[in-house]
Amino acid sequence: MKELPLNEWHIKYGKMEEYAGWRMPVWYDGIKQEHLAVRERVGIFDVSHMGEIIFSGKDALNFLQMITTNDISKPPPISGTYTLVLNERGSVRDETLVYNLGKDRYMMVCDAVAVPKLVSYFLSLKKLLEQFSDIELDIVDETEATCLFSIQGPLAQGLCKKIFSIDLTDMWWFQAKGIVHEGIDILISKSGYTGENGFEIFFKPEDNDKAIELWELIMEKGKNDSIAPCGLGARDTLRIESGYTLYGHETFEKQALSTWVDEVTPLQAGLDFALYMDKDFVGKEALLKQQGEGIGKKLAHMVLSDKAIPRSGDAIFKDGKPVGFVTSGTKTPLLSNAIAMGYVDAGTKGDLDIEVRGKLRKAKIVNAPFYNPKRYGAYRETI
Amino acid sequence: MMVGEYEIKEGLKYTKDHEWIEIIGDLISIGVTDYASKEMGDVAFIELPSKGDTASSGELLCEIESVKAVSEIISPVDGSVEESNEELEDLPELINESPYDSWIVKIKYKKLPEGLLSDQEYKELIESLDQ
Repeated sequence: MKELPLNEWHIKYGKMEEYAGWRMPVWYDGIKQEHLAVRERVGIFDVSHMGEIIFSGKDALNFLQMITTNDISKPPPISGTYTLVLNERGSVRDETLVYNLGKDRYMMVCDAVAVPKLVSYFLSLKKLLEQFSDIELDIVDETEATCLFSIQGPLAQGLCKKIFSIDLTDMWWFQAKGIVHEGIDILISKSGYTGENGFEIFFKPEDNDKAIELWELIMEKGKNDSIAPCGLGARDTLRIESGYTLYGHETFEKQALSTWVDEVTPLQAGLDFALYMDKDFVGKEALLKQQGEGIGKKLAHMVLSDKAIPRSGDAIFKDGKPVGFVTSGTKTPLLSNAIAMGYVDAGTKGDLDIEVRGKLRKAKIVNAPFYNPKRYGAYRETI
Repeated sequence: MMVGEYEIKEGLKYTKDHEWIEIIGDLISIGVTDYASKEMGDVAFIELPSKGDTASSGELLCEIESVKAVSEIISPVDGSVEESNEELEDLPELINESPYDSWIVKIKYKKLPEGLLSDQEYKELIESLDQ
């Protein structure tokens, strides 16, 4: 199992579990406190397991434009684009962010679980292209050398300003700034996965001590804001409460252990905003075909009428007829009842039943996010 | 007494499934141990059995749902459910906050169970797991 540079720290303060081949902190004081810290103050996540793949060379942009769905030619350095890697059937291989670092260099940030298959896919495509042309393209997996800390919550911006002495106001989503802090190059991006305003900090520490030093500095400076270290547990409850999809749950392609349906496309997952149809990309033909034929099932957000948590695979019924299945479910401290995401026949509306542990529970389809956006999240009306 | 961060309450009986048991006359009171509550994390929901439900030794009695997973409460005895702690339906977090005060269910038993662990034996079990 791979270990984070902060492994010792996490073991001392948190509960650890394996995720995507990494030994990861699941929680420290508890998912509930950590969830609330991010919604009300500020929390910090060590998500250094996330993948970073660097593409460089004069053909890097064209390569990325062909293998991902969104238009990454427009955002200037340094900023990122949310974009999808699809297979030839139009189904999601992974959800990624691609940052334009300038000078023909791009960084793809992807899910830890998808790193091995993506790297092997990209390298095989590159090898194929090299048979026919002199392409200028380097692809390097920098996942293990790169640390990623995510500082999230309404107080995140003020805290980052205090730590790095840098003005972060007026940044757009996925815009990033490069700074040098104590001799380390750091990239600070306005991004996250919690629904809150937040910043992600990418850096390559020369050793584990350097990573721990920065983490402890953030913890120290965040003391007045009662910053909470947060684990993967709260990361999951926060992203579900925001209605965000996660590769392996809401988006997936055919795998050995597939159940229910084999795979989903971005049209089904409600990720149309990441599709730039004015260019060519792998999977586009399949999407056009699906648009013509109808998408079948579509992702829905559902609130239950009690606290029983639906789990991935639980069946969904409408008027007694099976219409779909759950992909993620949880219970968050902001909400009195359980919530879920899942696929239902397109056009299904209103009241449903979800079978949780053998019993039908009433549920209804709602719009994301699940929290009240006037009170919580990046667009809250008051802080 | 403590084993690392885990509290073990003296005077109670324990099962290998990390339940604590208190014998009160013809009833036994069942809850989960501090170790179990810390392993499962924040409890979000508990589905309690009803009065009169049959309890069978080694069989599922009820389920405790934490944010992460579902844990099963296994009945250590044959008997019937006398009472469920309904306070936990609204305040399931009490199981994390004070597991030894949060009894979950009381069972009228037919025969006292055999093979329960003493507090000392349970302490040894936790010590062996905590290494």
